[in-house]
Amino acid sequence: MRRLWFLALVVAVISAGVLAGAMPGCALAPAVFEPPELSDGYYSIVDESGHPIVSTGLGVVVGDEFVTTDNRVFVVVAVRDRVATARFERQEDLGPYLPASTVLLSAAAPPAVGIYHTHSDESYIPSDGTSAIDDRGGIYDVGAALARALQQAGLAVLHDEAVHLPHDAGAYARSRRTAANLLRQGANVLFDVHRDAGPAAEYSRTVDGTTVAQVMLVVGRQNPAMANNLAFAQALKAAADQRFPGLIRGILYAHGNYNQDLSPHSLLLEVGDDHSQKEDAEKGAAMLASLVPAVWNSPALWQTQERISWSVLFWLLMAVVLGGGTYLVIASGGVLQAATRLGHIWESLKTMIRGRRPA
Amino acid sequence: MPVGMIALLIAAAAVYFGLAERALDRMRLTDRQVLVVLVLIAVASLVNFTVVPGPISLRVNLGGSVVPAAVAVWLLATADTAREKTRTIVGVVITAGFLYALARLMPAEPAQMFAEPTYLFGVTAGLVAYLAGRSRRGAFVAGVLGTVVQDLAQYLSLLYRGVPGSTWLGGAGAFDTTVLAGLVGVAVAEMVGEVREAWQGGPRNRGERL
Repeated sequence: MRRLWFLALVVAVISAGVLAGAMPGCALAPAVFEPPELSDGYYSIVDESGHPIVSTGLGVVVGDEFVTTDNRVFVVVAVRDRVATARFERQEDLGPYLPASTVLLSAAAPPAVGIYHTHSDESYIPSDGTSAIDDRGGIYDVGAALARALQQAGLAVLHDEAVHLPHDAGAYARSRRTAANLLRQGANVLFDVHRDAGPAAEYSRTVDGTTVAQVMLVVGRQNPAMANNLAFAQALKAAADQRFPGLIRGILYAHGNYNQDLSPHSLLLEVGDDHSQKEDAEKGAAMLASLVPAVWNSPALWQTQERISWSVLFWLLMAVVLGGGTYLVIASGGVLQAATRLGHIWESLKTMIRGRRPA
Repeated sequence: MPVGMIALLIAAAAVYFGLAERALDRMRLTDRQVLVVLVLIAVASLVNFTVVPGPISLRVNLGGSVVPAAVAVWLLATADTAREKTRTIVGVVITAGFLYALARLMPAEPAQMFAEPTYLFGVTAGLVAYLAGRSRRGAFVAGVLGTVVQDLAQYLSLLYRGVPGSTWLGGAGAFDTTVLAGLVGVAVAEMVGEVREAWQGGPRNRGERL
């Protein structure tokens, strides 16, 4: 009997894997066959007619979504030779997120913002002379500019300058310690500040009469806080669209976790790309910083996150019940045995509550 | 913070510690020992200290590395046979080497990895630790100490290259890869052991140690 249960379990797991791999939008299977990211390369996302939407040094896989500057949502349906084809999905309305006030409300506790840099070497070619420095790259200067602007906006800032080199697959595991430590120190908001890679001048824009490097917001699709972080990104973009149109390059809803499971207000910021002037990136970061108090005040953000949290909690409890039930059935050797065992547990609990030892 | 978010955080922590309790329970620890270990990991996660100050620093989180490492060393010291001890130590070295190689050979961006690195390192450490240690206790020891050794290798690498920066041991506390690798190691050992047992048609009393 036990053997049958395990055979069924193994077959179910394998079938689920095969089916998931065949499903469009599955983030797991296509990535296995993707070429590794090239340090000098970038991915281009184009629409189904071949018109360019955006370029990014971040890897792109089927199922990723991109919200453009003008809030059109595209879903990646195919990736070949670093060109991702995306289907237009819908026009996003970020209006409900618009903040009521542009300054911190006196009643609201101001957030403390934690800033760190997973990819410590990232630098800006025109200003730093190279795209990567095997130490603290130019990205730390952009982080410092962001920190200064946040402080000017009245917020507490914790800028952790820890180095997470080398720039390899272990970088996010190392920066996870930094992010967790920032939260322990009281940070309510986390910004992991990066710069993107792409064709020259792609990020350069004139915003509010000034030349700046745009900012792309990245939300990881593989973490339980993804919906909350996406709402935070949308609220930030709504505020930017109102105050500094064109500042936000878009929101990339990407394959990965990016340590965003640690907080519901955690974002990866791509501030300019390797061809941007660092000074432009610093100005873009400062503009973004000035919006954070207004976003923190947004009642729509908090209401949305409250609703999302209850929904995630429901699904978490469902997963616990289903997972625990499956474990119980397997460990007991069958459904009937599991039911009998549950009955024994229930009887023991009742006896414990009554204060007597079980028979 | 809204009530829903607080409830979600509490529920997520409860599920995590519930699973951790189940994993530790499979290592021949008493209920009291399991409770003490979990409370120590949770409380000590709030304590950080610097072992090596300066531009190339080494920082430690008590609950994320020292407590699980101490449990691992205790499990190793109380292993029944010299053979079990040797096999577990070999498991630690193999796990550390495997994690170090994995970090360098995999693509740098999570989008290009076939699995999320946060979980991949824990699962890989657990799997390798089980294959090398072939026991639940061995898997926990190799998972925890293998991760610590890998982190120390990272620190030595920065020291050798003269790159200023700080290396954390267990910096994410109870949710660090160090703890996760140990717990996942036990879960993998449990799963593989159960599947093997079921495949054989039931438990066999061959004097095998778990």
